[in-house]
Amino acid sequence: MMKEYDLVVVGGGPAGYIAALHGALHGASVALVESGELGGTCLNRGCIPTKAWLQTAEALLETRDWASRGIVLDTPPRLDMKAALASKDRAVRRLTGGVKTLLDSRKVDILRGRAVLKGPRLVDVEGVGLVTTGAVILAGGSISARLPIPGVDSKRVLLSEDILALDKVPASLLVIGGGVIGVEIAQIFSAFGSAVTIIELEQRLLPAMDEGLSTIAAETLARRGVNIRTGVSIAGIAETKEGLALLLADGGRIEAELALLSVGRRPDLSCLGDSGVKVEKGRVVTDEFMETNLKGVFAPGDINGRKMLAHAAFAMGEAAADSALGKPRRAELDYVPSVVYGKPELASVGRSEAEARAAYDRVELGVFPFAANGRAVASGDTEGFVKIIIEPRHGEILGVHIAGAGASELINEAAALMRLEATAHELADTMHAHPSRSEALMEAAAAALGRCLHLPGK
Amino acid sequence: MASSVIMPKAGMAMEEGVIVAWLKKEGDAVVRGEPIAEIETDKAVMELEAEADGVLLTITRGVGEKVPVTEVIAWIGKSGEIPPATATATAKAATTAAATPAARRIAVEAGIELASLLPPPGGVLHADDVRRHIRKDATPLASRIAEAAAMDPGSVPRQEGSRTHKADVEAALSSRTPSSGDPQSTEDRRIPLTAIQRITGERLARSHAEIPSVTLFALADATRFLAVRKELNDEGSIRISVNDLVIRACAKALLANPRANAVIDGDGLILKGGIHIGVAVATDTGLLVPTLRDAARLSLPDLSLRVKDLAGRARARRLRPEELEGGTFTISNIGMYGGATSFTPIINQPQVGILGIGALEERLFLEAGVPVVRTMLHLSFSFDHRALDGAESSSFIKAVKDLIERPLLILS
Amino acid sequence: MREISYAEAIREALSEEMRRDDSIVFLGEDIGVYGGAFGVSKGMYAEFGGERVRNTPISETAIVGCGVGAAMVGLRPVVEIMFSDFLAVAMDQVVNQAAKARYQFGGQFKVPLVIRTPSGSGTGAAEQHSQSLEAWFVHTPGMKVIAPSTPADAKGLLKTAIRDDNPVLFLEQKLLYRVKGEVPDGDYTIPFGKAACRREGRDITLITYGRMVARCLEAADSVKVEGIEAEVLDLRSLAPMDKEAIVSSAKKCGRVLIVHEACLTGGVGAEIAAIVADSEAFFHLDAPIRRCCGSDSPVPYNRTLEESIVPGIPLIADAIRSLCR
Repeated sequence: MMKEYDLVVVGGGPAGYIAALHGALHGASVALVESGELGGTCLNRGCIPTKAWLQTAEALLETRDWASRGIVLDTPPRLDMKAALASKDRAVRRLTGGVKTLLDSRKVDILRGRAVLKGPRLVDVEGVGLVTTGAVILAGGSISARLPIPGVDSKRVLLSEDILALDKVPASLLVIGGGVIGVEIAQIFSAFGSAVTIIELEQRLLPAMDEGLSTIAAETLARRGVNIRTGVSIAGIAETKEGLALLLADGGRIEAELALLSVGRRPDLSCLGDSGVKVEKGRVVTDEFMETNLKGVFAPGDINGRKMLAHAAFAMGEAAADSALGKPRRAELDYVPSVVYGKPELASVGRSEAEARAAYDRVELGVFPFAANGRAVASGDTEGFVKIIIEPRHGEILGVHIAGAGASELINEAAALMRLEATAHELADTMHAHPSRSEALMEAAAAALGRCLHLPGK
Repeated sequence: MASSVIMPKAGMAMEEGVIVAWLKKEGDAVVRGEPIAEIETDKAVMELEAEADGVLLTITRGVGEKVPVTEVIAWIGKSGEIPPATATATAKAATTAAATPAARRIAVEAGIELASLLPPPGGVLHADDVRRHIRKDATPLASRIAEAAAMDPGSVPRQEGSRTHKADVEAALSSRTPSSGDPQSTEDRRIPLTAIQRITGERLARSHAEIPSVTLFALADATRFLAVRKELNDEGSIRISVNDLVIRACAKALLANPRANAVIDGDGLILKGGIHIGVAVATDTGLLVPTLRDAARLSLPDLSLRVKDLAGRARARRLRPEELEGGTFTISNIGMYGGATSFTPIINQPQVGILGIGALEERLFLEAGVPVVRTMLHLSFSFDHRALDGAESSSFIKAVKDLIERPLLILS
Repeated sequence: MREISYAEAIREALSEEMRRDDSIVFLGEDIGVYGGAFGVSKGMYAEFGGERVRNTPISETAIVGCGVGAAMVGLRPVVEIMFSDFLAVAMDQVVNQAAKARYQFGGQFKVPLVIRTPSGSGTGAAEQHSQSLEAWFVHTPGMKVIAPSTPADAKGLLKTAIRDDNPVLFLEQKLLYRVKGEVPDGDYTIPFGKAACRREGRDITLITYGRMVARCLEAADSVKVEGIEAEVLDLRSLAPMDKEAIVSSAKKCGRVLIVHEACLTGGVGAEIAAIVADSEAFFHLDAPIRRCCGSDSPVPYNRTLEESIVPGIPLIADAIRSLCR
């Protein structure tokens, strides 16, 4: 038996490390248990590595436009995959090291090993022993989901974590699942030189996002030579001499060197043991204070399946830490932005147009294309638009959807305003620096209110 | 009352004296006649004696100080007493903002600390100062909705310590009585259902559609039942409600009628081993039914305390998820609202029965030719006719009725 | 509707009642052929004769005492005390006899006596003929005190007073006698204990009675342009007092200004202030309860000084502004 803590956090991903830091900030004695690398999926196998490679991919794509801007390359640039991999790994290591520095600075004890919950106050850490604690935060995170189809266990079917470790660009890649991860990775490898095909079960790519964003994503990918097949379901996977073949339910067949299985993620329940923590449909059940059915045991982040995004995990981690230390706090998950990185970036916060129309009697839209935005035109990147959905009586902002460079930044302005219940009136009347891409937000709000001056009158 | 120790006028001509030494310190016990200080007068150094028993509470003048005669130099009193001078000093130190009664009331209702408001020129906080603060403290959306409805955002009740949000204004609007609202407004107003209301609504609709439900009605003579309850409350420390006693009666009735404590399972019926009774609680966001586990095994005081705890936490939205599940039977009370005498409760799937408690009603009966007044309790029992037939269902409601009419059996 | 003066309305009420009920007798100084010091009983001697409209000696004790005695044996006397100041002479008869007899004799006797008396200043009649003494009698259990401000109120309230089986002090402000107003024909009564809202408002309530009602209405009009909407509540019945109306008006407006010509200290206004302070209206007060009343001074003979000791319209308006910030 070792030191008793106020709080033991199982899992060093976004929910976990933030919960640990928050608890320590408020004076608790905290231990964080991590069997792998600090930073979880986000830092090591998800958000960060993909963003690093997407940056490389975008740079490659941009060089193709340089000639029109007057920059002439005598030899076109080529990709050194090993160097790209090394650079990505450096970025990851820098951030995981950063997390360790943060944890050390707040005197959080880091225990290395797999942890299993033994009881509400007891955690068994492999290689360390039993740890007693005031409260437990289970931030076990998530793992890639697998499809139960024959052949899915082939070594040529990669999960996102595997594909991010490749040091060679495959000649061809099948992306199974056209959600966020699938679309991002398709863009990476398409820019790196693979012939990419995306297979999606639903009728459109990014089925969970606003339809306008799915459309622009599909158009741009297609223009870059990515093959998109929607409304398709898979019967099985067979290995071939050069790679593998996807056998479709309608009898079709697609071949490629490698496949990526990106059909979503599911909570990783391995830390639960047989402690009796309640699980429903593969997700840990929690209340809005992040508490499970066991008093004193909390489960923020991907493990509860509410919103499987790193920033939502940060918010849930903080709420869980407060709740665990006796000051119950609800995780605010009403205005969670979601982003698809790439070119163009896609970002959303609030309701999609379809959702807004279903919930409200009257809805107005304001769409402002970047082609009408001064900054976009001057820099030559006019792809995309800002779309704002409002409830016209009071100008309440119901949803904002952005496609184009910088969408991942612009969406935060929208999220902030919506959270503070500012309306389209306030947004349209807030001065934005000119020229900036953010002006498109202001203009789209004005357009929704029928008073946009930078669009032709009707 | 603390008594003062003063610089004594030790001679006709003495105007002031000097404190040479304190022989006691603050907090020491002193006895009448005991020397507590040495004073230098115009003639000599003398001892100053305590004139009362007690504790030397405070020393207000120190060694070496020249003090005019009859001025206070210390206080003696009971331990813990606050001598007058120090009391005034602390009071002066803690000044609260001067505010009119109306300003205070509005601040209290809005959960604002008056001290957090800047005192206006003139120094007194008026109602409008507080309202202005609240108005500024409303989100832009909330302000617009309130103004559109001709409602002062400053008058909207809101969460303590928070700004006025859209949800607060909408709640205030939906609870506004017609007479106080805009008399000219005949426009429809859409109020969104809460999440609890939506989910409950779906469940009720499904239950209503799927279950061939029949409701039996019964009247139980509750005259003795109420007398027994009154006695229990007069003697006991826990306040037992009519509901508590009916729940216990119901649990016993279920023990004797296990088919009513069952759950439909495809083409079979699972007779549940435990008796876990769901108690319907109305909250401001919808109906919640927390489960009282092992109702038949609980003592009456335990049952009463648990029901109170569950109901309280239901209203505060602090129920754990598992407390809303696992019920084998449900009880719902409509009598307590006044208005209705009885009703046809909807079965809480997948259970097979639900007991409805209605109103208490006085009725006139003839007993041996003499008119008597008895207080009757309306009961209703809705059951899934696939699981229970007429005889079985009657047996259950009769069991409940019998227990109410012979209330001592509920206590056993 | 016809307009008649306050004095005519009182005469009408008294005459109609005397015609209706011949147990009503009227006593006072110079009320007979002379028609009364203020002309109120003009023509009544001719109509009712000397048995029922009786001149009395100059002895207020006798006047009130006679009234008490007559009332106790079955008549319904109305006595006039020429100046309310002279009630001081008859105090024992008013306070110790009239107000106490019913209680003292265990209900065996009732005292259906009305004491009518001209009250207040403004006629240059100086200290002993100009006082407003209602507070003394509001403070006397057993005595009802009425102070109408309009001709219509005077008529209705006097009829109620005459029909009341208990002693009523009926105060008639001298300067109001000539004021004309709409008065309904025929028989009607106004109940005691019910105030009349003369002007609906929202920002402040002016609680007043008698001669000051008209001044309060003018002051309210003068501050309207500044965005202040003042309510004016005419109590008209001081004992019993309409506490409900006072509290609800105070609660509604949140600011209270009490206006009477009687002097400030110990006046009826202090009672009204206490009623507001110890009611649910307290929690809605957004300003101190203020009184704008007569100076604590004997009424001067000099007309300018006499005017200055009673709240004028500008003073009332200033008081309104100071409370409304």
